[in-house]
Amino acid sequence: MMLMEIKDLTVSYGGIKALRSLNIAFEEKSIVSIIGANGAGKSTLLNTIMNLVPAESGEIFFQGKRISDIKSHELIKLGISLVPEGRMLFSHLTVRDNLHLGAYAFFRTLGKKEVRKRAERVYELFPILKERRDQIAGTLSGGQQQMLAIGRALMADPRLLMLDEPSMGLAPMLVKDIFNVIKHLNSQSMSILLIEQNARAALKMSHYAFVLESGRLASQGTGASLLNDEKIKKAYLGG
Amino acid sequence: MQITNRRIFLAFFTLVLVFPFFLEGSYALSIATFAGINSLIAIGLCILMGYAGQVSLGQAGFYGIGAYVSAILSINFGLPVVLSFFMAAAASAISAVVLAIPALRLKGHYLAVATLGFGEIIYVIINEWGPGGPSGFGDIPKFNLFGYVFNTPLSYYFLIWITLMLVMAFSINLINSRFGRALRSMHDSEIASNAMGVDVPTLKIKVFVLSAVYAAFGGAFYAHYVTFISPSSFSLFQSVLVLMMVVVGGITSLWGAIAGAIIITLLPEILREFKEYDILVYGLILISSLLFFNKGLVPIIIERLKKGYKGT
Repeated sequence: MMLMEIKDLTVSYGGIKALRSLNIAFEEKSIVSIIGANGAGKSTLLNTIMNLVPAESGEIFFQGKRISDIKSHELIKLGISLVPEGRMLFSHLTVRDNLHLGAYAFFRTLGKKEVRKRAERVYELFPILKERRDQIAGTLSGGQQQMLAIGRALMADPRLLMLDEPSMGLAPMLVKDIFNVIKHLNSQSMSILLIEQNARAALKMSHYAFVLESGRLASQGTGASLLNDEKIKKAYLGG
Repeated sequence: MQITNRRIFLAFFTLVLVFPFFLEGSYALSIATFAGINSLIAIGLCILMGYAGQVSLGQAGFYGIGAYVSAILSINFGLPVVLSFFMAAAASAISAVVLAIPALRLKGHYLAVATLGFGEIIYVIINEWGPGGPSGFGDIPKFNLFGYVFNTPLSYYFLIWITLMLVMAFSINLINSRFGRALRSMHDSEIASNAMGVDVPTLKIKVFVLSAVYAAFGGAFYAHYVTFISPSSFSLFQSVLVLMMVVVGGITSLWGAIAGAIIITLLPEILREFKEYDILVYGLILISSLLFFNKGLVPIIIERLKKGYKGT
């Protein structure tokens, strides 16, 4: 069974179609990336999966269950976590509070102890966050903020982690670190849906990728095959 | 409750208990009582605005509902005052749900205008259909509990300020709970808190209801203290006053709400010396406090204290 299946998805903002009859499906435990130019509909896709943007038509299935009508705040309980574009940290709260909010939906079922344990696991992944746990999130550096945004999403212990442009505005070294963390999470059998402007880096580590062009699916294939595709090379990888 | 908060709390509580014995005459006590009533409304608005990030220019509406419903129920229906108090809070809570559901879609200025409209509607209703119309009505029974009537200024002072301390303890705990964290997260990013599993629309309704209940208690306390109410006490001006209390004291601090309420209640009394120029001085003080202490009094004092500790 596919982990996620998107069938005939169309999304409009006013009269403008952001996604047109999009069909996407991918398997569990894979790294899947969506690449495309600005305005191709990449973020719209993630926001529609999260039900933050309403779909005009089409259906979305997660582990065989139709999720198109499930409210955003319920989706996290099904195992879908989003690291939104621009991180959207709770910038006036501390690092620790940000992490705890990541487990908000599970607080009753997990209890304080388990939430703390999960936070410890995030700290193991990003030791700098432990050092800064009492610091206000808005005062962290860009890279640390991205780590916190990922850490916050991990607090839900998701089956599918969706990341919207995690490399945005980061120095190349930090991008490498973040991508290594993504690979590490995947090696622990977490599925990853990644949106990236940095197409080459994304394709290199992806098992599978979809290319969007003005809301339509232009191409798809394994990361390696797309890296060698002449058209893709020209359009997205700088020749 | 955090340790620092606990210390401030104990110090403040002691001050509240000792304070009236240094006051001369019932007039000063009644000003202190009004300051307490205003604090109650201001704490509600502070949670709504400072923590949840929702704007309201209609708190006078909830305040008015609290006063009118409690007064009418106790006079016309002979309900015990305590019961009419809770009925007033319930009425206010219901009206907050009615207001919050359509207002949920609005943000910032639009929300401010919607809540302002709500306040005006309540004002018009009590002005047109309230007992006595624009001139209001009296003979509202004094607050009483288990047969004890709070009819002296000193007893009412203690009633208000002890209630306020209980509300404050509850509010501090609330802000530091999972609920409070969700409120603050919503303030920073609704999209992210939604994605984290916070039911943002429901949370907004809850926090509107909370602030409305606080304001309604304030209104009911007011009605059963003054024993006479008229629509003019619940006009837009009152909403703006409450907003000013929260802003002057520091919108991000519950203690700021109390400080602001005390300052804004006391200021007209202190400025009596300036006779006809009092309103000028009043305006000058408010404008300069917003210009020079734009974070609000309490947050600035805390910042200074922290710096002071580091300096030594």
